[in-house]
Amino acid sequence: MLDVGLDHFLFLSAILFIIGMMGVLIRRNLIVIFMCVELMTNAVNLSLVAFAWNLNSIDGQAFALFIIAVAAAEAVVGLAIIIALSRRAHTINVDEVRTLRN
Amino acid sequence: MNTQLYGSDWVVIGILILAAAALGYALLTLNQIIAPSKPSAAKAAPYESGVPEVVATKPRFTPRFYVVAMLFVVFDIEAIFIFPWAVVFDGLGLYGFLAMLAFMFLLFDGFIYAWKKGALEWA
Amino acid sequence: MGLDLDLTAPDLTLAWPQLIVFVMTVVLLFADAFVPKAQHFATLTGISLVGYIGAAFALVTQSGQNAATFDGAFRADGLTVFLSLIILVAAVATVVISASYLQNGEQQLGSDGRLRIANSVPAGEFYVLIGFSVFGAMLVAAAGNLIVLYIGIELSALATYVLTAFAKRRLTSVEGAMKYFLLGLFASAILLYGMTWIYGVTGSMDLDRIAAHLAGTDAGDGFTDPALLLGLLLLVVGIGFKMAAVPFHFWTPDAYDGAPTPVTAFMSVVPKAAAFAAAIRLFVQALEPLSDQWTTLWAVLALVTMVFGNVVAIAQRNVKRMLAYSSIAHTGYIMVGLAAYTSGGTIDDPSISSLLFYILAYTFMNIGAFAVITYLQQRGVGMMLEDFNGLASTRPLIAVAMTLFMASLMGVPPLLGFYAKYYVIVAAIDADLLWLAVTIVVASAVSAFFYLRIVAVMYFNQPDGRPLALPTRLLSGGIGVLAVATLLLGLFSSPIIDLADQWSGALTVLGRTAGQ
Repeated sequence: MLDVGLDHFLFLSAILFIIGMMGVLIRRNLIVIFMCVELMTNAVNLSLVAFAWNLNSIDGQAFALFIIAVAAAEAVVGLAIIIALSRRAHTINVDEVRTLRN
Repeated sequence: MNTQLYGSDWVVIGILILAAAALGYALLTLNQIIAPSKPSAAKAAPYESGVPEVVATKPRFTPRFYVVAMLFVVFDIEAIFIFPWAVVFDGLGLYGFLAMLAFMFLLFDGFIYAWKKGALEWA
Repeated sequence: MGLDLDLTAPDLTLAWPQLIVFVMTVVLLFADAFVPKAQHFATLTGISLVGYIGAAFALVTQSGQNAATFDGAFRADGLTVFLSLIILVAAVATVVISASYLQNGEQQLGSDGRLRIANSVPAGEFYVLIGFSVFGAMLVAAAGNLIVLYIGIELSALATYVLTAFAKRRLTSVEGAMKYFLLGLFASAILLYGMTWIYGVTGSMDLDRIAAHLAGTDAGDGFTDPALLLGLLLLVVGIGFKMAAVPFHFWTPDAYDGAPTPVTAFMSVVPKAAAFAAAIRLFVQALEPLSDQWTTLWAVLALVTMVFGNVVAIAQRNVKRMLAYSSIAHTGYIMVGLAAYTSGGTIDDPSISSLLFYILAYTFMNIGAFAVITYLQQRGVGMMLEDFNGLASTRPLIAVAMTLFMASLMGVPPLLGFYAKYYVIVAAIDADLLWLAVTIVVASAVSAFFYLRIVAVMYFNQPDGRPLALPTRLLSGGIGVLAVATLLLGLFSSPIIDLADQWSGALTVLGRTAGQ
């Protein structure tokens, strides 16, 4: 049996976090960007639970539950904004929504 | 650990950030190299097999679908707090029970608001 | 797994002010659904004002306290009181200046030269969301551990994302909300990852216990755990996004420009105050033993933010965008207070109290400036520089108020903004950051160009004779109060700064002894 320790979890969560981050920076579809942010959040959850397991403390797990609940609220607000945008602009590509001058 | 070797603590972080960026780009490049890309008109069609479309597909959903889906997500996820509470219910005593009652009241409050505002009516 | 089930009822009396705001918001929710249309607006406005002012009184009774409840997760100390009062002032000001906007909606000049309503805003939802955002920001100010800090930041931000998209028929509003939302979420994820690392290294979520752990592990070999530094860096980036520091500011101009103007006034103050509250709680309270590391980071960010914000603001002809960049520049000035923190912070350390005073001053003058734009929006688009043409002859009092706000933002003595900058500069010099002090002065001189341009346009250009709508009494009264405060509060700055001094001093000194 492979001995899975804290390092393995942290490494996996770091990789997931970086994949999510690159996705946010590179992808142009709003839904995909949103999913990438969720991936980052879940990477954080993974490392929180791994730390809590390693430290033998319940705090990290409790925090993970709160993060999941907040992420659900964020999903609702995000989808509402994306729907409002797609009705106005008829696209969900970030590059095509450029009415505000920078 | 040898402090002189690094000069500054931040060098470690710098290496870490470089490694992270390298990993990100490596994964993306790997994807470009490995993934087969053979686009064809048939694949872009809404129905890959079957009758060709006659008019442009631009389905319109009524906003009711979105509203119901959103309400579902919120109320669904709140159950996440009830499970751990139920597991240790015996040890929590009266205060734990009252705290959950307050939480349920707030959820219910949101439900009444959505109901009264007509978000649940399907017409 | 240690399941500690020793659940004791918390001391709710310590959380009165926060509970008042929360209950008020729930009452607003019911009132929005059940109050008939005729009394709808007046009732909701009344409930909001009574709730915020009641919470402010409850806060004042708490001053001088230093206690914690909810197992240390909630702190009722001087910092809580001062920051919450700032947030409540901003909330009351927002309710007052948004009244005419909510009643009349967004108006646009039609092709026939008459005003018509282009966007009506549902008042009930507006007040409820403001209430939740204020509650979230107050939670951040009172946070005693990382979980409450995160929940507060998110609650405050989520409500603001929705408010930004409130003029949903206008694409710019939804677009600004979208950018604000995605980047805010991105920042939250980074902030969370930083918190995770801090938790993993120190083994605690409690801010005081983190500080105690860090103070205990300093081996004295001058080498800091890289995992801790990574956590620190992620926290700085996450908080930097939330407070709109350069280079994490991209969302700011678009979100400020797109949002309905009263919302812009609100989001330029309350989420920013929440971000600085989080910064004080995280860095000064929890990560104090690492202050040598983070003061350098904040000093560099402050420099870049001040220079960038002021230089880019010059090029703007849209006053709302100009104020967005000006708000970035002011973030830079406030960050100097954080950068000037000296390790071991004694009660004489002026850095954090100067920061607190600056946020207070910024609240009055910035909401005032946006209130004037709200007023002008009655006459069409109302946010371009040309819309201010000849305001001094058509609406002399409003022009005087706008002049006061602009001069105060610039830092002209004896206005409020001057004292705010003065205290920050003193703190910077105290901390041997002369280069930052010089940058503040130079940046303020540059900012004179775009602030005075509005004043010049108001006084020297001819009015273009477009129709002027009458504002509601609440709006003109609000502008008046804010203008008087900007004019006079500066003269009373010394008792306020003493108060801030006491409170922030109590935080740093008592916070650490309690943790050990």
